[in-house]
Amino acid sequence: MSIIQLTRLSKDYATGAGPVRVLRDVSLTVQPGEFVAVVGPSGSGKSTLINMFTGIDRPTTGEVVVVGTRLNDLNENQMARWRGRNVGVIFQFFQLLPALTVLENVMLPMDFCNTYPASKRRSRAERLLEQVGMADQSHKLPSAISGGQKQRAAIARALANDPPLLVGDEPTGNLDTKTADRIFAMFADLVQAGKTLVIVTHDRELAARAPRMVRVQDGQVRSA
Amino acid sequence: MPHTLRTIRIKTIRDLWRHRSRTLMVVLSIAIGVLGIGMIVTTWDILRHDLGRRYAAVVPAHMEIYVPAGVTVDDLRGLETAAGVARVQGRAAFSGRYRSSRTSRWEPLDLIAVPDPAGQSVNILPLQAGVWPGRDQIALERSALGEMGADIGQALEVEDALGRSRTLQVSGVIHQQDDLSTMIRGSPVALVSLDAMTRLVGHDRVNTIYITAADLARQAEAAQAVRGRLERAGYAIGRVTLRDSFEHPAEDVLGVLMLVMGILGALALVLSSLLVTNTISALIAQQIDQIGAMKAIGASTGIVLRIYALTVLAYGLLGTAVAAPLAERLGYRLASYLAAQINVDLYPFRRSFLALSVMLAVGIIVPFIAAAKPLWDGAAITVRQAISDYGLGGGSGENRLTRCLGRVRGLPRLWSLALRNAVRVPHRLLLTLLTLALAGATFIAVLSTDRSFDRSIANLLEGQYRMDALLSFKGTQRVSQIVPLVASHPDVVHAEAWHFSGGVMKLPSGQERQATIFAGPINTRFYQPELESGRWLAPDDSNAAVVNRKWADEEGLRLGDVITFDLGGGAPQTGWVVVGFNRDLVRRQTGVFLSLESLNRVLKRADRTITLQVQYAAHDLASQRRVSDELSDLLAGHGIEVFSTLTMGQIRSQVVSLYRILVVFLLVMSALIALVGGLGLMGMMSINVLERRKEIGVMRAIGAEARAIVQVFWGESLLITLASFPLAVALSAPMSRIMARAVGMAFINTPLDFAYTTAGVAYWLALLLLIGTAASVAPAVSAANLRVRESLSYE
Repeated sequence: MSIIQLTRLSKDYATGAGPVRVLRDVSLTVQPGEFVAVVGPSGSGKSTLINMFTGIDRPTTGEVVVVGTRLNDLNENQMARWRGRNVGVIFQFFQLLPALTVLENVMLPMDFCNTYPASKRRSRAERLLEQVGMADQSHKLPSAISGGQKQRAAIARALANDPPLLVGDEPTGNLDTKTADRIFAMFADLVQAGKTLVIVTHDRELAARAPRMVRVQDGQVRSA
Repeated sequence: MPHTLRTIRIKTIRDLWRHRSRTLMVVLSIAIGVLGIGMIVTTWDILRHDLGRRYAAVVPAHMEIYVPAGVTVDDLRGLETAAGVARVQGRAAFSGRYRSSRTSRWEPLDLIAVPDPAGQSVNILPLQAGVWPGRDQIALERSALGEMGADIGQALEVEDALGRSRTLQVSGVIHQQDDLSTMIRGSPVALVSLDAMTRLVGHDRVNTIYITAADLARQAEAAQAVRGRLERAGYAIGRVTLRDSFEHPAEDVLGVLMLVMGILGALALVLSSLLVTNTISALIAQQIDQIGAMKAIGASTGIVLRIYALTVLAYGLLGTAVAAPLAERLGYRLASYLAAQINVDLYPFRRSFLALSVMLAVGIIVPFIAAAKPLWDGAAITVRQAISDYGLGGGSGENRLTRCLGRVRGLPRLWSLALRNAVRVPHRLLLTLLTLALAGATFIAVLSTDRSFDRSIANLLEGQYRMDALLSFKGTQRVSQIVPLVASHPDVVHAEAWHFSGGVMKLPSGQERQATIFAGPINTRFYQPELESGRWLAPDDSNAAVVNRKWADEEGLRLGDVITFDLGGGAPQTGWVVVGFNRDLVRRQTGVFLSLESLNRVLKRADRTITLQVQYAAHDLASQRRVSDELSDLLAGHGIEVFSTLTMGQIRSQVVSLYRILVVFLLVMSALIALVGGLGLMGMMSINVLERRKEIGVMRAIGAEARAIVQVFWGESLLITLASFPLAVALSAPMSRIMARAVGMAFINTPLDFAYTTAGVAYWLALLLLIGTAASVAPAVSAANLRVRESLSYE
């Protein structure tokens, strides 16, 4: 069974100049364990596409089934809970909560979704940080660490609830080449460990290293 | 330049409209501050004006002469030709009691009579309804109507102090404006004709003479001329009072009331301006990138300053526009309420231009002062700073406080997030804390003042005067008969014979003063003197007196001085040696204590009294009334008629009635201040939600349900209110003391016996939790309702 099943999706946005169609009749299937890079020019609809299967946005028409759940039927709260358990989201600007330490940021999804016993959350977060090489920075606030470190912490946070699917929107877009390389290697390891990974990227070279590339242009999936 | 101005105006108006909820918040904050001040100034201005005009219409006397034995109407007329005198008006005032056909209970009644009521010229008592009373008629003071449950046409049985009784029909309603209303002064007032007075008290002489001088500057000479004439005609003068102020008698107390409320109004204004500071700095922080862009395309600091100054001006004008009509109406209503308490009619509603000017000035100037620093900081920022966005603390989360709190372990994650979020913008937190702490301190101080007043009254009335009721009889009674008789009632604990009377006291300097004599057993259980110097009365004293120290100080009396009393009733003048000075707050003005035995000796009588102080087993008002009624019946069975009873509950309610008005208004003002505090917190929380939209989106993206988001903001709001609590408590202690002192000096001429209210502290804590919750509801719900995509794309 596929982990992502998008069927004939369309997405319109209302603007002052009338509705704009960002996605047109898109269908896409991703199998468990795949590593997919979504590429395309600015404004082509890449981010909108991945927002569809993280449940961050909803389609105007069409059906979205992710990890066996039809997202069209979920309300905002059900969606938040579902997302917390099933999808790890990694953002371009890391988006760690500035008031919490790195360790606390990683523990937060477990708190929200109540996925692990409270007494186990800290040790799990420490283990995840160790896994991404951030164990020695765990008690710092995000403002005290570098961009690459922030992204590694964000990956640890995305893994907190052990979701089958990880989704990154330009996860290396704000990093230097060397750091981006290291993060990409980490993604490959995660796929090796059985995770499904979908990332949006502008970096052709990195995209080429992903086993599957999906090109989006003018709101349509050109090659999948 | 005009073009620049136009674009500035457009930007200002669009910003105001685009951020409607923020505009509403700032406008409301300013409006509350302006409302508080505007309401008080309106009340004060209208009262001062209307009281002045109404009081001038009664032609207040420039001087009053009290002649205990009374002056005949003919002699009174002769005074009009005395040098420097413009008008003369005589009035007879005597006490009596009444009962209506509906009840059998006698109640005290202050009776007055004036010669030719239709032709009154000074301290005029106008007729408001019906006709002037004739031979068998009586006119009631209008504030007494409700109290007496009487109306025109009804019959009342009226008796004088010696028990001469008449049935009089109510013929009209008069309005007395030279005294306080029945509710405040205690006993009702009624006017009878000289005829009716003669039939009651056996003469038609007037004992108070009201005079206006032809030339106010030569008032004393006119008084001397009148006095000389009266003395030559053989009259003994009781007291001459020259008045230097022609304000309404209640104006003093109203002045204090207005002052205290004005201070609270100013406090509300300060707090609301702190709110403006918070909002303007948040607004500037949010628009830093816009400021950078404007500067990059050529805007000078002056232009940027002008843009935001225009915004502040718009806030101020809108806030004033919202507050002014409300302040005018509320202020007028407040003035009407106060005027009704003191038995004065206001003129119809109109604008107070003074209040309008104050509101405009305050509504425009105060927001500018409040916004000055954030305005300048924002406008002076450089393009580089603006674009790098490090210029102003937008709440990056990194500061010493958050680092410090980062070390706190063991709190649930959401609470620790709420806690650290609260301290992310320290100056904003500080202003909000200050607002809440001041609001709390005021609230607690008002309740403490109330409690202090209660305690002072309790100490005074129940500590110093331990009686439950004062029984006055028709004519003198034998002490040895009446005390055991009263004491035989099962609910009576103790009874003592006391004598109370007014008399003229001659000081060693030869000056005369009207004094009140309190004479009782020297080993009394009813009066606990607080001696400040000298000693209390002793059994072997012959003629000894204890005088109130405050009064003695004013008159320059010393221990060992001899004061002389004219006790009236043909008794010889006698000298009394001052042996002690005591502290007595209730009878501070004129009280002189003597032994009843010594007094009876001077009056050449033994074992006689006209009044009895009685202590009952139960001290509540109902028991005091019940036992007093039963005692009247018991004594009537022995042929002794009780003329009037005055219970401690009645005395207490008279003392506190005016004060209660103050407390109600103080509480209203402190509620207003608490409202500003709540609004301040709500403003801070709304700004926080706006600034953290992205974070909210991230939390949603990693699995946070609406409940978790609400919990973070609600928790933050609660933590802030709780953090303000110890500050409020600490501030409330000195504030309560200052307020209790000021109110005490205003109402009983002495600082109140201070009592801090721990219950008030608990009430404030409960109120804080409510404020913390209420202030976070709207911002937290709006945060929880944010869509993930919208919040993540928010810039």
